[in-house]
Amino acid sequence: MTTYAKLGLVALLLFFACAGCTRVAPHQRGRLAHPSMTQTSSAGPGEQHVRAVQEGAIGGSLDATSGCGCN
Amino acid sequence: MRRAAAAATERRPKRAIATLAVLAWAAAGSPAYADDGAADVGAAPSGATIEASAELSTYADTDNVTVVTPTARAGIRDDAEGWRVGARYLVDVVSAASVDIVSTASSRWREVRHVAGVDGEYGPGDLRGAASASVSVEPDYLSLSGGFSPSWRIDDDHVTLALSYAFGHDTIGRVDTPFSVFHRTLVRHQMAAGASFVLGPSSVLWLGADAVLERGDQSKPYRYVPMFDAATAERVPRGAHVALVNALRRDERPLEQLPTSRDRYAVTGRWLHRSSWATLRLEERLYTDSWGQLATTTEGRYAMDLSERTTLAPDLRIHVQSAAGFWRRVPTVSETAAGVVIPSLRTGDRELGPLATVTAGADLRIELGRRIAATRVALVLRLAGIHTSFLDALFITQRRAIFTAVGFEGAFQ
Repeated sequence: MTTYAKLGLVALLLFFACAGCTRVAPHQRGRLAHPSMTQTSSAGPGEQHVRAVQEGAIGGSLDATSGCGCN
Repeated sequence: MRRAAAAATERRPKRAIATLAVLAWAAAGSPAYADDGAADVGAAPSGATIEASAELSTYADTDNVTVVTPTARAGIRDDAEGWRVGARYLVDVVSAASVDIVSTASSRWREVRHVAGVDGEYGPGDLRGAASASVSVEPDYLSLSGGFSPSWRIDDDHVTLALSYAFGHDTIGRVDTPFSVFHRTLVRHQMAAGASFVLGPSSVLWLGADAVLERGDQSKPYRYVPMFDAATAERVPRGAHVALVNALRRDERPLEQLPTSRDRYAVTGRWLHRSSWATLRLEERLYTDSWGQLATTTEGRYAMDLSERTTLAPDLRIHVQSAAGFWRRVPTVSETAAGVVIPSLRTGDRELGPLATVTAGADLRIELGRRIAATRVALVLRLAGIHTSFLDALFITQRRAIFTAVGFEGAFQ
């Protein structure tokens, strides 16, 4: 394992440890439950498809088949 | 004609006033709610909720490509019982006369793609599972896919672990040619793992990684690649016009040939922070693949609650990518004693070249009723401008595009 990989692993473990230190009670989670705090993409299906076919480094999603307007 | 124009001019202020009145009514529903995110979840869910949504999006760019995409979705969910099922249907109507098509002396073409999908989710406790399947049909392309994604909430809901796997099977053909006569198969395995961490009462962090393994020949059966002699290559500049390319290229114009396997890897970090009236979302994605492409995608979105019913969310997205290892703006042949040797890997797909894309847009969401009511209906509008710079490509050096979307979302309990 390289030095960088070891440092990365240590940083990741430290992060997980620190993240575990924060305790948020259920009654404090009003903001976390707001609809805008979702992890899903904010882009709709049309825009996602445009990105998938127009950016070679984005494709790979299962919706990125063809329909790209290219030839 | 003149009278009609005058009438239209007369009507315009009235229409603008009416539009402003609707927006003002929506915005004036009640003052922006301060620290009441719980209000949206305060009403305990009881019974099933029927959800339905529809979106009409349009895309038009300076390369003469337009796409119109109507989408409809319907589903039913019961949050108390912890389940959800849904189905969606999408149509892409693509019309293109892009420079790639013009350069092969082809005329504008139109194509329609139909996509249908179903999905579901179940998990009354900390362990949840979701599954989906879809089929995409075009005259020369059939794509089938399906996947599942379990997630597990641990540490008193402070951490959520998520995994996913999806399988895709594409059949690539040619228009007016049955798959039994000509087809290629492309198989995809998509795997992802990630976790979200509650960092505090207002912040969540997501860290994830995904891999996509593609096996099969995904070369476009219509894409012909111009070839050049090494001696003339330097006379073909970036963005060279079709006429210049045709004047300098050799007679050979072979079909595109891509590697028959591709492994993609990406890591994503996403941070969400909710203040009393707005949500900031920042995201960074780093990408690499076995074709040698590297990419970074940075996104920021700031959703502001203008009132209880109205949200305005401007966003900015910057995508920069390097070229695939086999990308050549000016592909050259070599001549040997045995004859002309054409590069075994070749493409004219400028999306495999180096490029930078900037997208700036905004969403406006107007709830047409109170969010906690038994019946909720929302109008969602989106407008975005997209600018792409092709850093090392033939024919064009940039592309500008406009994306618009109008959507309705409804939930009925």
